Amino acid sequence: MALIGSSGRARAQACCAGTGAVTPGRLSLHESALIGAQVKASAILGSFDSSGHYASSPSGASEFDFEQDVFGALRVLKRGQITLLVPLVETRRTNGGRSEMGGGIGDVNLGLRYDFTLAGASSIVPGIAALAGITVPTGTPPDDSDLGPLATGSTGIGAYQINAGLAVEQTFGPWLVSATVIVAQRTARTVGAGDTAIHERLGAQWTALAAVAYTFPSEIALAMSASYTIEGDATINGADAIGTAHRLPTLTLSGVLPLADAWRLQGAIFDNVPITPLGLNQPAGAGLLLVGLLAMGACTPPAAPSAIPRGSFTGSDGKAHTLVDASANFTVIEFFSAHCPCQSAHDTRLRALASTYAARGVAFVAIDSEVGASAARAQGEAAQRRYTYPILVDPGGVAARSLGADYATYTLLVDREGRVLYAGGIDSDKSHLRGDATHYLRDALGDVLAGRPVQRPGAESLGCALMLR
Amino acid sequence: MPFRTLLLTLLIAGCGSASDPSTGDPTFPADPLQTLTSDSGKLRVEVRTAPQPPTRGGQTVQLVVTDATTGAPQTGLALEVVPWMPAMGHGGSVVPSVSENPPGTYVLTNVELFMPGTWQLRTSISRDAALDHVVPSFQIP
Repeated sequence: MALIGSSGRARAQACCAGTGAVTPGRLSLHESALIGAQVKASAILGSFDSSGHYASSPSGASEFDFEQDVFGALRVLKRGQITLLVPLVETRRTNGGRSEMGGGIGDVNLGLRYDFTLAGASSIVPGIAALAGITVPTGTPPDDSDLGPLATGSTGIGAYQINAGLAVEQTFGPWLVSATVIVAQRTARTVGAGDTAIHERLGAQWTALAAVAYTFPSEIALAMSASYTIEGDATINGADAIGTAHRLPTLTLSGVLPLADAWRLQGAIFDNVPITPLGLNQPAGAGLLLVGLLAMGACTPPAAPSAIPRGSFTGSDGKAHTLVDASANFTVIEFFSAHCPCQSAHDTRLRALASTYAARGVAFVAIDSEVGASAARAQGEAAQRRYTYPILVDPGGVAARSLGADYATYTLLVDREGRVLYAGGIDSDKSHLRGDATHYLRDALGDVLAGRPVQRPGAESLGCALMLR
Repeated sequence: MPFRTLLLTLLIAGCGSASDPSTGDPTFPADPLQTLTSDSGKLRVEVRTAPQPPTRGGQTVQLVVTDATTGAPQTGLALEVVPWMPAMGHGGSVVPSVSENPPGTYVLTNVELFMPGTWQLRTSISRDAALDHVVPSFQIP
């Protein structure tokens, strides 16, 4: 509660961490790759029958399911990522005094995500992403003849599964709201031969997921999500198998604990809401999930802009300013976000840089291009952050667009004539400052003040997406 | 069978009868769980289970097959049975064994219904190349 109470100024932007709470294996902004492992344990506590009635598992019957997944994600396009998940699955069943445990490699999944727009980049257009995936039947289906009588060695469904989906998400300060719809179709499978052969195709499976996440200033995020899966009737040997449709509700509470910019732990508890008649033809249970992952940052710096806008901007000091301070030898322009934890994390370093280099003819300005930018907000933020330089107001985000600023803490170093000498992040840190960070801006300042060409003229900026509309 | 397991089985079976897999000699109730007509309409099949109603795990199933018109027991049939979960798209790993005793009464052993849901016993019935089908279906809690 103390965190909530003190979050008025430096609230974390939900897009930085909230999405991870909803989708563990997803790359966040600026991440180019990740690898992770997750451990899942669940218990089947009952089942919904073919009329939707829920009944608890009978005494003496139990099922525990375990899964350990290794997964990796790779950014293959600026807005596109691909995910591979390899599961190891185990089941323990007890029925009528007989217990059996088995397991093995499950069905491998390959997923694709493409973000057409980013959550938080606009107050009007939400983040919109297309999803696709395929699950390959690398596991063992329950009717494999090598399995024991309780089929605990079953680790897969025995068919390919193709997924397609659409995800919509938007941030509201520290809140993230998302909605996802996915449709899955399984390929037909034939079991047996001759007169008893069964050729079955399961019905199309639709899943709707709604989630809300809150990101604290520490970037710890909590999320609550509800999903509902509906599956149509199967067909067996060409005929509709009436009464084989599914329904299954799931409620999930999840959270993200960032240990550093690259490392994060995630956890979730989930439950299949055992209320008649929410489910149909499905076992139901509850379980927990723990995830640890290591993310790697992007390595492609943005293209430097060619020209600096010449207009004037109102500053937090009430005066009109140009982006390039003609009275200074060099000017640092930093794109500011009032809500981004990466911005807040760098305030101390920015103050120190401005103080150190002021005597050497380097001027600093921050510029607020986000929706809601105003002189009053700039004044309040500059005072609270104890900036020694002004925050300029960029109504409509005109300057940000013309300078290619997509993310907070994007920084330009320009000379008196407006030539861009450096464009990119302040340093290699995101929101967890490290002693061994690479100080891109400081190094560039050192180069230009020494009369050398800038050794690293560009680097990725790791702040939140700027909400420009 | 340990006393606790026997007691549990009796409780689950309720008023029906219980089977004891260790003896291989199940007792079926007098009243059938289901009475079905084969796909061709020529056969009548009474379905009993032990325990009845069936529970999660191993079952023994009795199919009493008679002529749908005359009620005469149908002897010498060849039955092939595939347990199947139509809503899940899979069956089980164990193929039930079929024996006929007494004539016209077929007993299926090793019927493993290992998870909750609707299970079918997709049964093909043949004699002298003539083929028929019947599909008893059970809801396993």
